Amino acid sequence: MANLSINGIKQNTYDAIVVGSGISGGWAAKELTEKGLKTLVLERGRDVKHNVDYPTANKMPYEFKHRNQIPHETRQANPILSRAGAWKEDTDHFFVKDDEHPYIQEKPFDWIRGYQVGGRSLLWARQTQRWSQYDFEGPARDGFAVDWPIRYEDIAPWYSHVESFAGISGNQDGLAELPDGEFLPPNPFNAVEDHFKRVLDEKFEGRHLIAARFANLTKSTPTQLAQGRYQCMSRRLCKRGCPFGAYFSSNSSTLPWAEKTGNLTLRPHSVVHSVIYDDKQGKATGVRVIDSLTKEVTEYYAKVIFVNASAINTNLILLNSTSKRFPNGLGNDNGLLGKFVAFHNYNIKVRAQFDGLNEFAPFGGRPGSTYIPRFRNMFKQETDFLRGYATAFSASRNLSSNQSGAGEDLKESLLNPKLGGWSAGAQMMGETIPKESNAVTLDSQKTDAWGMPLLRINIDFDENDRKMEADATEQLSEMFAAAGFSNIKTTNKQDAPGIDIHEMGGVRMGREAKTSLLNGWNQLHACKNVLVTDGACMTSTSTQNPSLTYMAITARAAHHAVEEMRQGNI
Amino acid sequence: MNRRQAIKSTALIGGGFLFLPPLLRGQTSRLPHSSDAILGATEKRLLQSVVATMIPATDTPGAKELQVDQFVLLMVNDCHDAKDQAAFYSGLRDMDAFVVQHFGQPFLSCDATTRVEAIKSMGGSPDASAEIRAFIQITKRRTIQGYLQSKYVMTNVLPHEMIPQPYDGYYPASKLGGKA
Repeated sequence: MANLSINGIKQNTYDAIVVGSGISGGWAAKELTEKGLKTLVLERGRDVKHNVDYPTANKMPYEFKHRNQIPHETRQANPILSRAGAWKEDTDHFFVKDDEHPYIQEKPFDWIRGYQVGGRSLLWARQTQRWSQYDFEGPARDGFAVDWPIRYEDIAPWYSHVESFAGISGNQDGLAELPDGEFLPPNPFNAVEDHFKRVLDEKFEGRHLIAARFANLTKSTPTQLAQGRYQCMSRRLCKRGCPFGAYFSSNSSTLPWAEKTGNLTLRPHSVVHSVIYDDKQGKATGVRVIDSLTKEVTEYYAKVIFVNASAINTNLILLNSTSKRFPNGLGNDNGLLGKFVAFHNYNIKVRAQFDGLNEFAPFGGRPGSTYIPRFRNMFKQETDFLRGYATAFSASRNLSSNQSGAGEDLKESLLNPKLGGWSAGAQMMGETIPKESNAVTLDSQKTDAWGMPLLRINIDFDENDRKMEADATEQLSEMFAAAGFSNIKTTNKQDAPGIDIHEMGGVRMGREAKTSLLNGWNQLHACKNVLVTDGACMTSTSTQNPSLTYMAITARAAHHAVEEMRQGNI
Repeated sequence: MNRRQAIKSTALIGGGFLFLPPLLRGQTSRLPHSSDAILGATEKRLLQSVVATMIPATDTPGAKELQVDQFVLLMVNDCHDAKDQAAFYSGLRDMDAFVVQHFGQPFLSCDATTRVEAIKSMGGSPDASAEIRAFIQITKRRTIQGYLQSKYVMTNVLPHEMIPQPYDGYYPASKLGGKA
């Protein structure tokens, strides 16, 4: 790599490099290529082409050897991955196995990864709620982390930009705490969900049950048809990859779109070792890549580099990008790189039954459920813990059979399932407070199969989280009781952090170089041609599923970077 | 690739919190992935008869006709832990002695009605050993699964719809559940 000829350098030079092809990397690729930048997207995993590489998408249940169950020995060999509910026979090929990519858990942390083109955008839960002004103002109001350098007004047009393209379903709910957007028709409620909504409206001020916003096409507009994406058929097999392109993923949407511009070069099997910083030029000049198959090292060069490797791996790459100027990692003058990592707390679940509205039953499929935006400490501090939680809610009624006995009676019963009563379920989605002690670091000696330092992960819950869990248990139970639900059962899953698969932070945005890594445009304060727009950039976590915000932040940053390049500033 | 070695090396490089799978903590080794080594011809016939008794052929094929006994063995061998496996195979070996004791003859000699009674008795009776009860419970769970999720049932009896109807949250309950 040291003796590349001038032609070799030219061959490996692009206008922009995007590290990672997941939900944010895909957006960076789309925006940059659309603006005419020759863009290299580096993905550490294999290629996954839309439809071509969805081997299970159209399989019937009986076509799975173990009827979709992962064999016992495989589960035993993958204690971390085993905790991911979506890991089944039909999705096995999209998940990283524990022993393939080890890391060190100073405290238990379930790091669930999808190393392939499209990353975890193939596997996500597809909920897409906007943040509000109250979310961006949170750290400043409540005195934690640092102030976000942006406000809702800064990002609102970019939410619209990504929603229109991706295709997001939802209602115009008119709630300040969960702003409306550019929505396709919402998913319908069922009888008990409507009942619960009425109860909240009547008895609980400030608590609203709404249709969760989802990245499934309840309708395909010309914008999505132009991407070859069609209306959702409610198969609820999204995580296999959708033959209709009916949910948003990099594979179905942004990457093929970027490819159409003629400006995209996608290089799978490319483990990014580090960003190259040139001390003389005082900027980053490219990235060092290890081919995951041959382990050959190659350098690629560009004027601007987007690091979208997924939150924790973005931290890893920057920590590993050392130079004379940055001995502790790229842009890490203040020593905060890798710190203030946070996540979401999904620990509390409440289930109940409802003996009413028995004349109705839900029938057919829908790609969604319902949602209660955060109501705790929303407009002012009200409890002895900071921040709050949103809640996922759904009601259902299932067909089931009496499975007692044996013989003809059993067979008759199995073939004639009866409609059961209504059941309702809710799950908290809690904000956690970023702390300096929740951090990722590099092990000084141990490396993986590609020579990359192993990550040490030291992340945990705190007392604020436990208080919030107690409050969620109490409040959700109270709302269920007020709705006349019976047999209310609460569970604290006591999961380790990580299994929410919403890891965020470590390269946070902020107003000042002293206390943050990135500026308000997601540029490293100290190296402005390197941008981070994946989960690593998050200053705080709020309660909303984060992907939509990563998309909007990425599109915004990409446009700014292109503008800065035109002005000659980077 | 030697998986055990891979796990060991994964475990060794970690300096912090470690997950060791039970098989490295000295738990009983799991059984080989083939029932041929474990089951004789009689036991195979016995299992076949148990699944046929649980879900018999009527005007449509039953569990035996759909080779659900093979599915039960596949799942026990691949998807259950060593404790379940040990109980399943012990229970299968021991069940005939229980049937002889309580029903006067071996399972395969019983008539259809007695076989149903024998299975109900083995599944719930405190007289049956824990292994026999576990054998019946595991077999029943996997038989029901293998039957309902067989290609035959999912295409001919209760057709599986890959694409559901459009959602109706107020569908008349009276129209759902059981044959008219």
